[in-house]
Amino acid sequence: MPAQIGGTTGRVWNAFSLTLKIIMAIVMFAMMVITAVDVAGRYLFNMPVHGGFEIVQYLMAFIVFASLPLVSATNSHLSVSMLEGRLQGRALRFHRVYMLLFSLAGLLVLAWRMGIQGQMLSQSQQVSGYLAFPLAPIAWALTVFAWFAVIVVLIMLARALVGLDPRLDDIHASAGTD
Amino acid sequence: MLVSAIGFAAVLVLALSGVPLGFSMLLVGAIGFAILRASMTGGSLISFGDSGIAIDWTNLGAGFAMAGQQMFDVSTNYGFSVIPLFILMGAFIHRADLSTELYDAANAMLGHRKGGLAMGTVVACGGFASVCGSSVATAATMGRVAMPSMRRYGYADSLSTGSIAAGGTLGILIPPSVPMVIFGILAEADIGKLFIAGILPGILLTALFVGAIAFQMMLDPAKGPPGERMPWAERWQAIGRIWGILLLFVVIIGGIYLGVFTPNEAAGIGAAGAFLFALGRRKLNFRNTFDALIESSITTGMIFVVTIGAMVFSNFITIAGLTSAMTSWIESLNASAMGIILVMCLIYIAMGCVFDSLAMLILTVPVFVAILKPFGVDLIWFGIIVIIVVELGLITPPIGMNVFVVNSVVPEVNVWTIFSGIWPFLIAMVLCLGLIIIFPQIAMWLPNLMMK
Repeated sequence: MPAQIGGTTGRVWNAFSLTLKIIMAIVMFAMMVITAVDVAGRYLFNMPVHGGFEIVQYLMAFIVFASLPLVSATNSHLSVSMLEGRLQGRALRFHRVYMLLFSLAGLLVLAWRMGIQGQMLSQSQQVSGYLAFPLAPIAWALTVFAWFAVIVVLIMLARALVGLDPRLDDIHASAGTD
Repeated sequence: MLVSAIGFAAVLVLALSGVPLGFSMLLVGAIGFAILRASMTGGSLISFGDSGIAIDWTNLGAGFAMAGQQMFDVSTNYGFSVIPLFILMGAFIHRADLSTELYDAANAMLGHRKGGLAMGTVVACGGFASVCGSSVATAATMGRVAMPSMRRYGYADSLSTGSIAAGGTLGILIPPSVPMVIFGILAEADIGKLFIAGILPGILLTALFVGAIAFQMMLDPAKGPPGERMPWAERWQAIGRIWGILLLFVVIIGGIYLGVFTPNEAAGIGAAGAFLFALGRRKLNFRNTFDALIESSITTGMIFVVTIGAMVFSNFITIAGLTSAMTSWIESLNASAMGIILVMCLIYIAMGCVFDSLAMLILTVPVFVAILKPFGVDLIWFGIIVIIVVELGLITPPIGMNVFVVNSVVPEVNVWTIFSGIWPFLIAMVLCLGLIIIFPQIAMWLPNLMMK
């Protein structure tokens, strides 16, 4: 477990990650409430939430992308490495840099292409199928989150290069997929 | 065919050397797609001409454009919202702390038998599984209450820890189940039917686990002395205290069964129900509610990164013609569907030694399903088989997730002691698997009733 990092980086990171967490918590809670109220309303009172499913659908994208910086910062990406925990010293440092470089490449693709999706959606002025809200701003927001994740991995890369544990936080994706 | 084989090799090399699986698949998938597009238009992605190295930017762009479209489509696919909501339900149920009531109720019925507390543990795990979609959470929750009580009665460590680790695997066979959802998405199979199909195999496996304990008692009764016998009035009282779990299960799974809810809606109702339930039991405060929401969000993000990678990669595999090549190769072998399924099971068991369950599903399901489809294999039935072999991987060495979870509850018990207590349960699992392969009706009876 890395200790919570200190100094200015630590303070900035804590404020940033808390903001993301608050966004995620609100969005996640909203997804739950909207789905439940939609179903209950439909069957009990014949009053579904107008376009509820569509709101849920786009809220989910917010969770996916808002969690990217945190998943990266805590090293919670699903990995099947055979090497982890077996390396030390210079080999460990090299391995971390290697892993982060590829993660950086992956996140750059996500950020870059999501931006282009935003452009395409805005040019074609595409709107959602039911409530007809414009889709481009959603893609823009997702793009911003993805760029945040790129910055996070750049910081982690810098930490790994100087031999520190790159992880910025020690929370885990422990809700269980097994 | 060759390109896709190289693609698979590239993903494995990257992933095994530590690159997150999602990014490995995303990058290889996008670049592989571009290479194939370039060769289809008669060129190659990178060529060495008179003016040095030339890159075919149009086709490289096409590969990444495909990736971009996939990432937006996957993240905004309403059908996938079942993932975060069931994960959230599990996170709330975990905090509702139901383990004591469940364990008491199961023991009230079984505790007085030889090995009864271990039997009670397995049955309580099955009960917890009916509201939780994760086997790790099931083992962790039940371990905390079952272990101290079995210790008190002088149960052998191998029996007590083994029954918790094995009982935990029921978490993903008895619906709801997060791995079933992932399987359903990857195989494009009906998640609701998968859930319903898991019920009878789940009950069967629970019964076989109880049988495995009874069998051990015949060999060595000292391992599990009987507990106290309770009068029937107290037994019914103990069972009455688990009404909340029963209600939640009946609403969610009953709702899916009767076609009242889609799995997405059931997940939303389940998460909200679990939230209210935990709240009613005064187990939630602001802090741990917030934690449950964050934990679920991060797990969701983690799953979606791999899912996006898997979708991009499978687009590449599709245009590479791998699945059609494999299908015709298998046809040339004259193999039967049953033979292929058995080989697939062996592959899963081998993979289970190294990979965790999500990685296994992501890497295999799209390809395996494409191979099995032409044979007319029922994908719901195949899904249940896959879930059971994935469960095997959770309790077999060297990397049995559930064993490590139990070990974290009782650090003083050696991991190998736990593994040594596992084998009777492994036999029970293999037996269950065999029964479901020979008698597909065990899995298919309930979902087939549903269609009418």
